Amino acid sequence: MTPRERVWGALRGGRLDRPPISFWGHFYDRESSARDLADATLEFRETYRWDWVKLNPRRQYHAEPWGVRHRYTGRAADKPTLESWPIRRPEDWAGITKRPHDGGALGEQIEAVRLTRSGLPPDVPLLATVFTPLAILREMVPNPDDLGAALRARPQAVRAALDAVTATFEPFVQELLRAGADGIYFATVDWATRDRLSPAEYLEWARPTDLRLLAAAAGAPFNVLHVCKSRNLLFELADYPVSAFSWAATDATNPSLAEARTRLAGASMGGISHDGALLDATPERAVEELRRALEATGGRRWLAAPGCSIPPATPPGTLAALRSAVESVPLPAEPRS
Amino acid sequence: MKRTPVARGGAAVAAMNVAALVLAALSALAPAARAQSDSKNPPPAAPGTTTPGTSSPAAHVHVYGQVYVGDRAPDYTLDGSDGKVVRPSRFRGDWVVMLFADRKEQLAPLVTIHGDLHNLGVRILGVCREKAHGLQGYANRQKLPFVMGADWNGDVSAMYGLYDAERSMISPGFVLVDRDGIVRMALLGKNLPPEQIAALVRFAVSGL
Repeated sequence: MTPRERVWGALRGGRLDRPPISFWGHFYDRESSARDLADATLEFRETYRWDWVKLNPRRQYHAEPWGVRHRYTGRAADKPTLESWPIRRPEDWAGITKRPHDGGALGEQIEAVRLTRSGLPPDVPLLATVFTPLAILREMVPNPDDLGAALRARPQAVRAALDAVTATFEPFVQELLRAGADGIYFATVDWATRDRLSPAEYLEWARPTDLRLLAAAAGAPFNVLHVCKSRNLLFELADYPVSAFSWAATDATNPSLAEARTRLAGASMGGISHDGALLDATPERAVEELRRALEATGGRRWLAAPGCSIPPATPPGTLAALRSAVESVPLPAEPRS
Repeated sequence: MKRTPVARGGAAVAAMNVAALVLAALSALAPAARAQSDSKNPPPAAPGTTTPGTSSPAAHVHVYGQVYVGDRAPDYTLDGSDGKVVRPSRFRGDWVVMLFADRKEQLAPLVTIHGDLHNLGVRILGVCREKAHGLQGYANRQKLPFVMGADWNGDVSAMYGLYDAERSMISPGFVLVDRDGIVRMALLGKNLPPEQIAALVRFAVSGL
């Protein structure tokens, strides 16, 4: 099977030669230009022969049109630090207006998709990353609590800003698909978790704009919803129109892969803890997680992946071992009921 | 019980893949180089076996390939540091870890894990961009217990996707081949310390 046949087969729930697998993470020293990001992504994919590519942009790219800036040290392992942000006073919310969808950092990401697509074999699917507009607003204040407070204190102003951000990203999403993405990896970041919002609050503040962006991607064959963090709202978002759901399934506070089999209409993506076993010096525990995920899903409607983007310190040998393991770990005859 | 690794190509398909890559590489060559290749030099050696000394460096055309987990490891012959011809297919029945490096000195630290791997029934086979007589002298002086192949023009490394033609050097990488000659693990373009290589090999051999 080609990687695309394998991924498409997993989305449909078909019988495969082996589960598709991919990992992704930040290249902090190589994510500040379209060329660097595409080259780093292509090298990473080629090293491990992943079945699909999730283009992992710098975290704050989506807020840069509104003046958010971060400082990089130039070292691969160093996260960038926030340098400037647009909302410092309540009246600044009014300055969050619609921006060009194809200029600046957004144009750069479109170009990164184009470059990555042109460097990938045609049979390898490509996902472009898009964030919930609520997470984009969060980048415009120094910390998440500031946005949480604004939701309650200035709801009208925040709603107008959310609308402007969403209106900016609707044509951006369509442009990503035109540039060669097979779908979007739509991430809820810090927000679809009970640690931040109740289900009702997420419904009120994020769902309408989420659905607008997913509607902009409608028709793409490979849209993925990534519900990040612990105590997540995965099942509350189970009706989102995507073909796969990604989450930290090894986190005991989240639904397991086995639970998700009966609750999600789409395929499951995940099963390897991005911040636990993956960071061990040796691959045993990570491969054991892969085995357990395979057992829980029966290898059907499942894409082997991390629960979130992997740290730069992830041992390359562990990734190589996982990549080898999907070839050699036996597929269960039937999924466990 | 292990499932037989998925044969995503096998030797025949791998050969076809490499042949296609050869065509792509040829079509991408600069006109002067292509003309040189077309007019005076024989076509590249078949990918299944590369014999040293069959092409001149001035008009060299590498056979670019790639190894995939689950595929049969491409075979080749190289002059070895023990004075004999190295051919991986002769090691069938044993696990073989092939380690690629640009210089012989980069392979010398493998001496620290040779004993462990030997006890597991794993042979170490180094491949580096050196000439055979240099390798032989070095291996004797350093008393290296494993064999290194002299891939002085990068042909074999190119077959494994590890020849950087732009810089004329071999990129680091390791390829673990099982008793049947099937690639079971590969990490190309990364330089791992010997103890990590040993841990990965031990893990794979004892039941990946």
